[in-house]
Amino acid sequence: MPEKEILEKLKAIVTPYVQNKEGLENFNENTDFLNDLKINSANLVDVVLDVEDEFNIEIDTESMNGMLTAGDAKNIILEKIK
Amino acid sequence: MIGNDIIDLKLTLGKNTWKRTGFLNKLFSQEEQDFILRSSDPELTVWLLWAMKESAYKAHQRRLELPRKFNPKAFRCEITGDKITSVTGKVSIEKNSYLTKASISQEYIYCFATLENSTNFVQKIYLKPTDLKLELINEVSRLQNLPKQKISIKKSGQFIPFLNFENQKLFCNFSMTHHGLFSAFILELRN
Repeated sequence: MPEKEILEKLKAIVTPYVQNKEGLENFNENTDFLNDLKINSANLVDVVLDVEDEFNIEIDTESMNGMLTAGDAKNIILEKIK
Repeated sequence: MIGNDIIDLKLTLGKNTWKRTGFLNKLFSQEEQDFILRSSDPELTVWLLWAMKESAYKAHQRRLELPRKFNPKAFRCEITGDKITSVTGKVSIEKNSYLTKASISQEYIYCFATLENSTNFVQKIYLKPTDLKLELINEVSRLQNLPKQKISIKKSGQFIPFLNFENQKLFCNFSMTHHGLFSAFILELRN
């Protein structure tokens, strides 16, 4: 799956949880879920579960620990769907 | 060191997100999951334990100036006292432990965590939209007798907020939390 497609899918996944919609305008690898999109930390686990469902992967605890930006999530997905 | 967390219950209760496959397992240890499922109100207990973990996480991350990490499972909750509207607990991570106190109302769960029982603090909870940074600055200005126009809140490289006065960091521990329309701050007072 091309990286661009992964990022597009990620953007769609996080959108319902985003409190700062402006942060979505320039969604890229550096987009920070908490600081840029103001996703509430209580919703981060929803993002993780949605990513698991969308890409049919399992995100282990260690990977989840480092899932703070769109780029982090993309790298985890690329690693798991290999 | 200090941390806090508020949860707007109308945004969380009745949504059944906690029943999603994998949800409990991503956030809670087996013991915590058993405790949740045995409790009289599992959904409320999910959010109580979450608020305990989140407030302890903030206190811990700030105290040790750690890089951010989404590692809720590393924080282990223990309830030490349970009254109808307030729950005291202990949250442990590695060799550190934090004391928590949560208040539960119809509308929200509010929890704070401190390293020690003797910590003095002032805290305020707002149930309508509020400029929380401004409220915190006003409080600091009043307590420390500093002009509020010269106080600002900045973020460190680790995304930890700090108070700034005339380009100098004020050594004053605090934590802010928002959820829905609710917000709260807690400010540690020096003895």
